Amino acid sequence: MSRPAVLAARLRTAAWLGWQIEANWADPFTFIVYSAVRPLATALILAVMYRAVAGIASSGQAFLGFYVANAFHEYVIRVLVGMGWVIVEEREEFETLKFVYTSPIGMFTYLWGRSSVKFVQASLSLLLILTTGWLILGLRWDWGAVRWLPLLLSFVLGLIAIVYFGFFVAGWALVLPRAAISVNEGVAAALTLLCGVIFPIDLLPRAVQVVAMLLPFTWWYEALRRFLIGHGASARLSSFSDGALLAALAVSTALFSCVSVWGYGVLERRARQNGKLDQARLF
Amino acid sequence: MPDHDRDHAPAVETRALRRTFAAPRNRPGAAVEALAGVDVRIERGEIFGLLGPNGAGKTTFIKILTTLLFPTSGEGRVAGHDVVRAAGEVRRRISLISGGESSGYGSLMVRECLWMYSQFYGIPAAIAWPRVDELLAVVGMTEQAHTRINRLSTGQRQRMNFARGFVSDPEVLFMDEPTLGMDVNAARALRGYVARWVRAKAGRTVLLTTHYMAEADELCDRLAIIDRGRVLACDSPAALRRQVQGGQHVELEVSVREGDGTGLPSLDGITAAWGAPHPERGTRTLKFRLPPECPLVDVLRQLEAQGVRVQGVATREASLEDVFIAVVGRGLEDTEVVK
Ligand SMILES: Nc1ncnc2c1ncn2[C@@H]1O[C@H](COP(=O)(O)OP(=O)(O)OP(=O)(O)O)[C@@H](O)[C@H]1O
Ligand SMILES: [Mg+2]
Repeated sequence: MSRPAVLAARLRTAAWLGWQIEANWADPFTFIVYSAVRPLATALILAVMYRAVAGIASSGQAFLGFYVANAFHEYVIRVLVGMGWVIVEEREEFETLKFVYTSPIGMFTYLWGRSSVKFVQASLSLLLILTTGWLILGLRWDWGAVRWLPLLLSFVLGLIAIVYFGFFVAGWALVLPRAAISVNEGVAAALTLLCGVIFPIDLLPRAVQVVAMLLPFTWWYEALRRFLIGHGASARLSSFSDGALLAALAVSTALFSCVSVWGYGVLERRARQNGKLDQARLF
Repeated sequence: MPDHDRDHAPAVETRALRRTFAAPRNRPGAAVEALAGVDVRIERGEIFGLLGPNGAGKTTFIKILTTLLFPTSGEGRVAGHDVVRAAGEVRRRISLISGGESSGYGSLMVRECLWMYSQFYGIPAAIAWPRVDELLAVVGMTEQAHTRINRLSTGQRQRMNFARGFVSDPEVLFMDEPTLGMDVNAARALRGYVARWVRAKAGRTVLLTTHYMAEADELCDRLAIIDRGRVLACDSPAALRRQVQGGQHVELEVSVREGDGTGLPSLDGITAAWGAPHPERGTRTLKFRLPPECPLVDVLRQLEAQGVRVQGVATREASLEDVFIAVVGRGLEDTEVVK
């Protein structure tokens, strides 16, 4: 087989495995609860909180921005955090990590393939949250004003950042004991706070704002809002032109991806040094 | 190393391979030296065995060569590729079977799971499917082809993992105690398959570790006896046996006094080791090689003088176990020895 054909076969197989493990068709109830109920509940809590606490019901447009970003945050929760869980599951539940690791598939290809099911799940959740918002909460926007090309471009760039950051998280999972891996969940929470998902980064302390602006996700959420519903959420970021916004997203994604690949390499070497790749129980 | 040299490179070659494990932080003590400078050269086409007691370093050796673990120092090469610097090249050529393991993706079916691994190695479907079906027949699991892995018994999962090792048709196959915990018939059948597999195509190589003398004797072209991270002897089973030939191999069944079941009697010029106990008769087997210049009656007298009652005497041909006792200084199941 040619090289691209081999790569395609590997990706397809890893993706297929992800579906077999994740989409447990024998138990559709659990699958539906996990794909729909949890994200929907989170979105509704967000809506209630906003109306009750902030009284921002008056400025419905601002809330729409956070609601939309929160829906896209599903990709971070599932794909990024999920890549760390793949490692934990492979090593400690199935005890197959060493066989995958010593095969020529390569962990990047493998993790990438395995997360495709999470991408689909996140997309379903996204659609569900946005539909609910549209129909029940009256969170609507003008479809005619959507700028599709930059929207698509920024969506893809953000996904790249998520997948690469996922490698980094997977690297941590290689060296951390299971209990500490709830750190993965912490990453999703930290990104919620830092990157202006549910409140504008303008509310963060100035130094923290700088950190936020180094993260591609901050630009991602802002770009998604701007190109989908027509306005961003942050005063600070709204001073950037569309082009500057996309450029910031692209550059931070590129930097972030390089750092993540490097970080994964360091962590994997550490795991191989300490013999953690084949330990079913780390502690 | 240029490519044409690699084609003639040995299947496995290690030079002064060392691996130490730091003492755990919560239990400080001396670091463990799992491998203390191992030099081994395995030619293509060989079935090479590592024989050694628990903790000898066998698994550590395999982990380093299969790219799961870094060595502390020294060099390891598989098919001419360095296991540290060219791990990707190594992975393309190897596979790993760990015995006693019943791991697997529970929700997959046996046949599709094997197929999945073949795809990780980039095997075309037209080759992969027939090979998977053939391997299922080899491990006697044709009937379970469409059974989910979480419905398999432990032994069946182990046999599936055995088949997995072969789906990629590796150049070098590493097997860490492949028949551990399998029933006698299954183990014999799989040993037979390994032997046939290696001979069926030039260049296929197997490195296996084992506790079973018979397995090593029957299967391996060459054996390394390893203890505490060092290779103590390395040769063909026949040549190793020849080393301890001359003299007779004696097994005595001796009675064991209550509360004194472990101390070995001391015998002039003889290295003895305990063999199997027979609790129902209150006796144990004492094994040693009788040097030609030493008559058996002398030994029996010495034992009598120490209050050991001999209940039975047997002599036999030199076996690998005798080699092991001579080289390692203790039997594989035993821990004590006297000189
Ligand atoms: N991850 C580790 N951390 C610390 N020490 C280790 C580790 N792995 C192995 N060791 C130690 O290294 C030595 C060699 O272990 P290894 O597993 O290679 O032995 P083995 O020959 O495979 O034994 P067995 O026959 O019991 O499988 C042992 O003393 C063991 O305690
Ligand atoms: Mg072992």
